[in-house]
Amino acid sequence: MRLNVAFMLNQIIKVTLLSGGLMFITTMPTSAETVKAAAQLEDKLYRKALYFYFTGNYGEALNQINVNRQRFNRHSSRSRLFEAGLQVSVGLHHQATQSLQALQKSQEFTDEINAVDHDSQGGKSSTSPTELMLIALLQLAEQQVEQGNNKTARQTLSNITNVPNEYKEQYQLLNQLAYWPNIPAQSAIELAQSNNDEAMAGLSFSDAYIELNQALLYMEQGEFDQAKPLLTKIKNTRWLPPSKTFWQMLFNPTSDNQADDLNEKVNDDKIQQQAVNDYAQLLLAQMYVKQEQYEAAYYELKDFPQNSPYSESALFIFAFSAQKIKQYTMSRKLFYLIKERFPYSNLGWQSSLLLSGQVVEQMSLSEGMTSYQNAERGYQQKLTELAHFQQLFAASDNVLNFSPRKEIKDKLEGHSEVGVDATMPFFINNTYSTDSIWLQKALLDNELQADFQVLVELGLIKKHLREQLQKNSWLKGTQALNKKRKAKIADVQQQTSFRSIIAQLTDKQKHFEKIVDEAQAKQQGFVFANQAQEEWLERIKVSKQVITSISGSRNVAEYKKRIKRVEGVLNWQLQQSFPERLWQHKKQLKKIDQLLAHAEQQNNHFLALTDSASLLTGLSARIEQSSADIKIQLSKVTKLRVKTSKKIQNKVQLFVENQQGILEQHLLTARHEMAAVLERMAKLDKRIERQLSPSTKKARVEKVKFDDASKASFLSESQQKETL
Amino acid sequence: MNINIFSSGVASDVCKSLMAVAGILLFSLVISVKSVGAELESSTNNGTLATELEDIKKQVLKLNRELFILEEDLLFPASTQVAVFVSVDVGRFFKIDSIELKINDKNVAGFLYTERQRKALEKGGIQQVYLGNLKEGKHQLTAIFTGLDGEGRSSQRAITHLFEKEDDVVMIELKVEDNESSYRANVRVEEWVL
Repeated sequence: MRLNVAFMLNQIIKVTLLSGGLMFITTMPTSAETVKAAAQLEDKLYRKALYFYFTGNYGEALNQINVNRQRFNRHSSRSRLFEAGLQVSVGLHHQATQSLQALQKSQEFTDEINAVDHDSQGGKSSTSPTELMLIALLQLAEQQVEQGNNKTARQTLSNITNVPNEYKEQYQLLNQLAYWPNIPAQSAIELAQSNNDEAMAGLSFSDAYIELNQALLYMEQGEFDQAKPLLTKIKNTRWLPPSKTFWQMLFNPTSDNQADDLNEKVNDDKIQQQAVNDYAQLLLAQMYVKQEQYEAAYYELKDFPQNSPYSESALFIFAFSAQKIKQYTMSRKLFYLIKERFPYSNLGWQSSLLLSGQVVEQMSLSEGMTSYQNAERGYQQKLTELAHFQQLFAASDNVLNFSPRKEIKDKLEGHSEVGVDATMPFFINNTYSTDSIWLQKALLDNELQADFQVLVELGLIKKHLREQLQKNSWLKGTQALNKKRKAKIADVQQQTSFRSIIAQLTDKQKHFEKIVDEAQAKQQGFVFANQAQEEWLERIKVSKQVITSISGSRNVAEYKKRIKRVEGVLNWQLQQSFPERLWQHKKQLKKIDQLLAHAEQQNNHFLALTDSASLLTGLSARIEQSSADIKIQLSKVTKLRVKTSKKIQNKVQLFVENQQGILEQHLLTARHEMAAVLERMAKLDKRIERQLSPSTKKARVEKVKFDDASKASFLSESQQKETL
Repeated sequence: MNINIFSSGVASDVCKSLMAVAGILLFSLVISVKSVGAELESSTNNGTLATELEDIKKQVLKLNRELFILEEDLLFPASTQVAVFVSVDVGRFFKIDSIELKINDKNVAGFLYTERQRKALEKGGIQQVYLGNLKEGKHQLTAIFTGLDGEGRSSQRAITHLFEKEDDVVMIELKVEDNESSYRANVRVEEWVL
């Protein structure tokens, strides 16, 4: 029995989202900006994982959570809970249990429980972390029950200490299944009794499952009187349409897509509801048959829905009951229909015998004989087919290649599923399906189906690991190229002495800075005098000295006047070009600054690249380690594949033997019945013979002798076959 | 009961599971059951297989993480790494169909959304749409979103954002947000604080 897993997980995610928001609000200090930024980053990284989850890429979502923790050191309680939920959904139960246990013990989580509980004002709409934890544990227990790990499911359930009313039914149902067929500490009977007061219209699916299981227990114990009212109640119950949950309304309430999802859910609920009703009806009829109340069983199944998943079983019980209450025309047609419609089913095989028996009783011995002969041929044909299947299956090197359905073949060959971006497809549902009718029948065994699923997943893991190995070797190649590039850079650095370039540039920079500073301070044009101008200035200076030395002996007034004029012209020229030259010098200085910065940057870059040699060595080691790890895992996968294949071969062999046993049993029964029919035919013939007139007696005697001889020969042949 | 149109195989997973339980009783009339001992042994074997498979899955997941980080360290070091993300707030006035990204007028990424991916964004997921390398300095990011507006008409939204790449990783989120007052969606840019 299974609850709607997808819905439950969705619920977990939505609750987690909501609660995350609550936690965020309640734990966020208002003053500390850094804490706020950290919380925002955590939220964004968490939503990155959510994107993968919503696109059906569970493996990548888990990967993202791990990267968030390792790379960014971000791992809040909600992301840990989300991780645990994902682990549950992808079948990493052991890890999920560990994560949940660690979470329960964590002080941070406890603090958040307290914080949210205080802020929730007791309102139901605030989903506390306690509730999230409960949902996760229930989900884990459900999956463990589905996989038949009842012991671990019991352990998981024992971790739940407090169950709010809205989860009580789910908890009790899981408890019932985990302890099946024993009665759990808090039994389903108690639950069923306590729920009797509730209005029938308000009965939930979980209630129905609990009561169905209870009715099954009663039936197995022969307590039919107690089973009957339960089954009648379930059969007649009509469920209320599912209402929108709080989280569905809160989470994007206006979106049309959400409405689509809800429609899907409503359809799913309708199918589930009908299945529960049908199953109760079928169990009721089964109970009547056990009590030999065939008429009640017949009328119980008269209006059984045509498209029910239980139609085969219901049809058989209906035909059987019809035969018992002498509705022969109906039962004959029904048995014939079952035989034709379900040629590989045990019920179809039984129908052949029951039909032949009825033909013998209701029609004629010869027709009955023909019917038995047809049944015998049918069984022999099935035995031949079965032997052929056994031979082919045993000869197949890879059991997955034995007639898989196209979708499985595509999946194993790497054609992605439409609408799912799964980079790790072994984390999504991988139910195996086949075109082989016998294997389909064998796969009705849940354990064999689970084994096939393991094999499919191992195939996908192997493919994934090979891709990872290729990627790793590509990374190795890239890293080698990187090494070469860095070696080249190091060579360039050695050839070009960046330090001397930087020193030269620095000198120039200082020189220009000095000139510009001086020019700006003095505002004199001579600072920028060129060589010719400097020579002129020097000559003027010398001339002035000469004039001073001869000033006592000669009249130097004329010289002074001329010198002053020349000096004035030169100064005027220099002052005229001063602003332009100052600007040119400043520009030059700026350019030198830029060149210097660039040279320093290049130098730092090269230094950094040289220093990163150790990082490259670290990367090399990591690449080598990854390669080794992948190879180890590939070897593990190969071993496990061999082991699983062997197990599947053994199970299929057991299935074939079992089916052969059933068919041979039916064959034997058919032959016994044929012998009985022949005896009856012989007796009948003798009686007819006695009634015949003496004139024809002689001729009749000869005919009877001939018939007896042929019958004796047939009987001896049949006995020989049986002995064989 | 109309016996002509019975069909099998219409059961949902739930129904199939129920049917398996029903089978316990129905087939008990005609088929002998396996011994309890054999069942126990089989259950133990299954447990071992499941544990071994779980262990392998766990290791594969770990390997994936290591390779992911290794790849980033090697190909997108923090000093040059630039990542662009897309998120949608509600998505009532703009149903995102595709995005085109340009950095410094060069096309660097484009993405066409499936229904499921769009819904994932509308449910609160953040998608990394680009991861690349840029030199230190100033750069210009241009994003062009194509989609359907609130009335189902084809529509585009574009935004340009100037950013500076320094020594740390740059993470830019393009947020498509519904504006209740104008009944249209706007694109807002947020640089993540690491």
